[in-house]
Amino acid sequence: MAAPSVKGFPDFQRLKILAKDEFTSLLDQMPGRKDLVIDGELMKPLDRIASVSLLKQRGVDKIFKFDSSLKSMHGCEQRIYLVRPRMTTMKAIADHINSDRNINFKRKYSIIFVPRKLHTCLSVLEYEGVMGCVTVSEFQLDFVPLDKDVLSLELPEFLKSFYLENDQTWIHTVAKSLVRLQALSGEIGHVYCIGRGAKMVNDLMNFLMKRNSSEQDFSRHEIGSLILIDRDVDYVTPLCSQLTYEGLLDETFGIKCGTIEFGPEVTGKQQSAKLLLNSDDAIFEDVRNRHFSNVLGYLSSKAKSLQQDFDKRHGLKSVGDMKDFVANELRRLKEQKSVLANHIGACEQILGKKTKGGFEDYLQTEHSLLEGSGLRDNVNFIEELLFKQDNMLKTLKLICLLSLTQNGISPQTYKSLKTQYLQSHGFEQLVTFSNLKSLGIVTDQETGSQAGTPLNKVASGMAAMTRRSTFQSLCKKLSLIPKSDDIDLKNPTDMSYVFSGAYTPLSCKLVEQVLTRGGFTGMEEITKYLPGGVHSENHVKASKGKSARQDRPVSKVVLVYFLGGCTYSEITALRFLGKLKGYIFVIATTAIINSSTMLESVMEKPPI
Amino acid sequence: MSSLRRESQDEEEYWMKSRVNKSKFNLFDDNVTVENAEELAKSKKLLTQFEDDDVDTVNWDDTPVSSVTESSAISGHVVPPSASSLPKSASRPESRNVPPYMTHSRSQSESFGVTGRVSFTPSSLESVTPTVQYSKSQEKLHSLTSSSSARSLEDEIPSFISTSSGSKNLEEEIQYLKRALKKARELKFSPEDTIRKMILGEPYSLEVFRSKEEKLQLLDKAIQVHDGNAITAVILFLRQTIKPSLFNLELQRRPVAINHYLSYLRAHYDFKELDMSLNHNLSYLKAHYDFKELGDVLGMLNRTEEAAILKYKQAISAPDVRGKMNALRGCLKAHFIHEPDLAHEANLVEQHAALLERQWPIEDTDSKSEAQGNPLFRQFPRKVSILNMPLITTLYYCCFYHGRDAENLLTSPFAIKKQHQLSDKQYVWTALSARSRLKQWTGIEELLTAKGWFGSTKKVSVIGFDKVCEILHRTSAPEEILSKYLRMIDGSERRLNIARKYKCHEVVVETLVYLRDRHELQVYASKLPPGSLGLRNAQDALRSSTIKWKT
Repeated sequence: MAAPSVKGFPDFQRLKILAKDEFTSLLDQMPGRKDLVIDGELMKPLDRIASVSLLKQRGVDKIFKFDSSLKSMHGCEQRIYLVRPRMTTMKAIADHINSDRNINFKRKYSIIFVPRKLHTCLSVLEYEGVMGCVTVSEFQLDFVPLDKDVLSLELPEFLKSFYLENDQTWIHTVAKSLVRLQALSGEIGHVYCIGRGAKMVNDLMNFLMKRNSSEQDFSRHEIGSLILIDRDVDYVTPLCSQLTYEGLLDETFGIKCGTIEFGPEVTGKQQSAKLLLNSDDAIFEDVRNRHFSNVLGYLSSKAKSLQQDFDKRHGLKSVGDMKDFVANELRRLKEQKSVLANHIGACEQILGKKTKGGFEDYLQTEHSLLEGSGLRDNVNFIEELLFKQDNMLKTLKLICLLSLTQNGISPQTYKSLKTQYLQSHGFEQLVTFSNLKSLGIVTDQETGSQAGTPLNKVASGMAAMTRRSTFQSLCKKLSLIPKSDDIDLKNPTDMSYVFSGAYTPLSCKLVEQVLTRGGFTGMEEITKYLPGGVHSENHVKASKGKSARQDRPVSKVVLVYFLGGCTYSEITALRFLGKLKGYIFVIATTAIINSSTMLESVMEKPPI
Repeated sequence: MSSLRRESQDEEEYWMKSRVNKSKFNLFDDNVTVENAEELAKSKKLLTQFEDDDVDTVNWDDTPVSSVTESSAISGHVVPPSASSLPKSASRPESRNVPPYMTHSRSQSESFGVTGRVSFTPSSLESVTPTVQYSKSQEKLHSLTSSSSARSLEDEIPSFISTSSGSKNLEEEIQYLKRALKKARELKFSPEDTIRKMILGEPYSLEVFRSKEEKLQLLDKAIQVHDGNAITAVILFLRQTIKPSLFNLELQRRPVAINHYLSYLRAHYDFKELDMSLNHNLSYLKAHYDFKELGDVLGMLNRTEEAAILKYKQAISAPDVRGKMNALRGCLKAHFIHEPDLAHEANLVEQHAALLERQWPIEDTDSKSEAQGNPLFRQFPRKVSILNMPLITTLYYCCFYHGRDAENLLTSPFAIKKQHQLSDKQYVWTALSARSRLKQWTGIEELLTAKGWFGSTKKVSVIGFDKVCEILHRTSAPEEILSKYLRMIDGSERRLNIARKYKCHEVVVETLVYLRDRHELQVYASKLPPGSLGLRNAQDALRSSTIKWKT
């Protein structure tokens, strides 16, 4: 049994080591000097796994970012492509190979697919006539451990692919990630699925694992339960403005694969700074989960105490003390100081942006949409944003929330808002509205129930039906909108603090319900509103006599897996819930998203 | 014992079914022993590699039926002889291991003509036959089946006996069996296994599946286990190997398959698009074809909206504006106008086309005019081309550069409002911003003046004077202009708040005086810079004896 690491969290460093080993051996399959061409979106994840020096050590000469617009590429006699399996990528690689052939340049090619090769990709290679001169392999990089409690597949396209195009290709990757995780940390006894994709993942996972329930011994396992949750069960939460520090950092600067880049405006210096945001950074760990109103004060008090530590040096009596201070304290203090300066700079930026952009009015509208009050005023506010040609994403978020909270927009308002949106932000956005309609995010009350196609009718019809007054009913049944106005944001008692006490994230509330009830029994009044339905499996009961001790610490370790992405606010809410109820939550997700990245992934890009 | 009987009943049921093929049984008599050899080898393997094969057995429950009914006479003939191995397996606790031989025999039927393994030595059996309690089970089998299929089995049994008499080198036998086993393994194709291989990323081949039913089994299995990659692969295999009408029919019965096919076509279209943009030649036709296919499938499924949006998307991807205009008009005519459900979308596409038709000549004229040094453009240089800009941006542009143009010109803001049926609010908001930016204060006045009865005029604003002030403030209008419109805001409290927000001291003082709030005025005055007009006014008011202050 691998020793559980910090405070009962399973040790995910093992995942990193495994991935690194796998990648190294893949590199070694092509001995000697070689170039590495990496898919842009794999750069950051790979960075978390392998260092440049490791690559160099394994014979990597140059590293290129893959560019599909290039018809040919230079470099040495051996080349490895590390790419996501996409047809367009294959085509570009084939072009590179063919252009080398045309000038009789001899080169060895290897394509490493992350995380798996797809039939369609191989077909393209075959079709382009290059199959014979490439070696094809897989690098099963699934989970990238972003922190001690966060695992991400870094696969943002899951949302569009699965929910919009109903393509199940990535279900395999999700299932596989769980199989591999369980190979490390032991089989998970309880599985709860909320939603359509969740059930599929569970089915495929069972298929891959060949479960043999009677033989399982759950006594040594590190994770007690798994909750799989589909994003389409709760689109509202990711569309709400994030108000925790980590959430705001993501919305303002964009956290990519656990790292953030602060420009000169934050650092106050010429160069920008790259920071790794995780629990190793003590200052960040202290503020990441706080409501923003409670961050700057803390940071400045921290700065003061740091200054005091610095000032100690004036009081040093002997040379020995001085030496000791320089040797031990100074370095730590200096590091802390620079980190602190960056965080304070970031806070100021966030504050500046929020006060400038009429954020308070926006937030007020958002909250009244969630409450379902002041409909006319809210629509007026949205229209005004359209007259002003205010940020197109910001406006669209409110339109989405309007539709989601009301189960579609009344036909007249829908038409008027859509028309004005298109007039203000380009008619190309017609495609966006069509996508949002297919997703069930922005629907027309009249045609909402007829959305989709005859064949999809049942599914989308059901979704539309279940969404009818869904949100408000769920709010009521789960008391998502706290009654009292005075939530103590400093010492919160409720998950809703992540949204200033205006709203408890539905996804997290469902997790809480499932755990306290030990399943879905008694939740029928709630689950009937959830599209895709629920499902639970218990693999432990077969070995009841042996080791089903519910009080074991492991039973408190819960893996929550978001299909289609989750936000930092949700992670924070779950961390809080964990502290409150004594659970240890590990959050897995296909990607970390925020309202902007989520909408952008299904939006039509404006013409250049 | 009871379990044994149940098994034997099952077997009987099973035999009843297989009896269908009985008449064909002896057609390939030569091969019978071959089958047996492999079958025995197989069951030996089963015994030794229990774990390994357990995997297969799970999925097998329903397949014997299909193999008996669906597979051809060739596979039919192998069924009865294998019965000799059946009881043997029945002696094992699981009755499940009965099916695997079906896989085996069936896969053999697939490859029958190809491999033509004629030279199986009958002697190969003897090494196997003695190993397990063969005779016993055979007896049982005999008694069980003698009534129904006596002939076939009796034919079988002597052959066994006769072969066992000829003894051979044991080592050779083992070698042979190993080879046979290997072959059998290679040949063990079933839809389930193939899908499993695809999911596990192992090598597989779809070409061995020739019957439509098997292909569909493949598809259904792939759908059942939710692996998109396998689903797509099987769909493409189907498309390649069965005629379109059948393909479409079967696809339509499986919504999940349709979604994957569409997803593939979309991705494939992107791929061809890339091809086109890189090569600009031959592949255009192909891309066009795939695109047509995508549209056709959507059409076939009555997904009119999706199909229309798809065509729209294609239209707007045209690289040049003229091409885009034509494509939009064509797309509108073909996919939007005749769809009653898409009336609203049709109107929007129409607007898009109309907008481009307006932008095109404006851009043409203005860029020339700018090049010739028109002072207007020199004073306010155009940052970017107006082409492809949103409608409201275009309206702003026209208000800015062509605000006074007559309504019959393309550049006239009012003509734009009319053609696109913009609301008064949309129009006023934009026009006001442009005129404020240009510091056309009289223009703003005109915009906000409505003719009343008998030639009188009054100031009205559809967007409310608070918003007027917001725009003026945002576009840095001078204080006197701002004050003028601040005074038009209804409601003194509101006026006060807005005036405070924009730091319009005069209006704040006025309003406080109006509200007779001496205390607030004093506080406010104390913060005003010395010598300012606002302070003077405030002091005047505070000194005044005519004001009846609130108490």
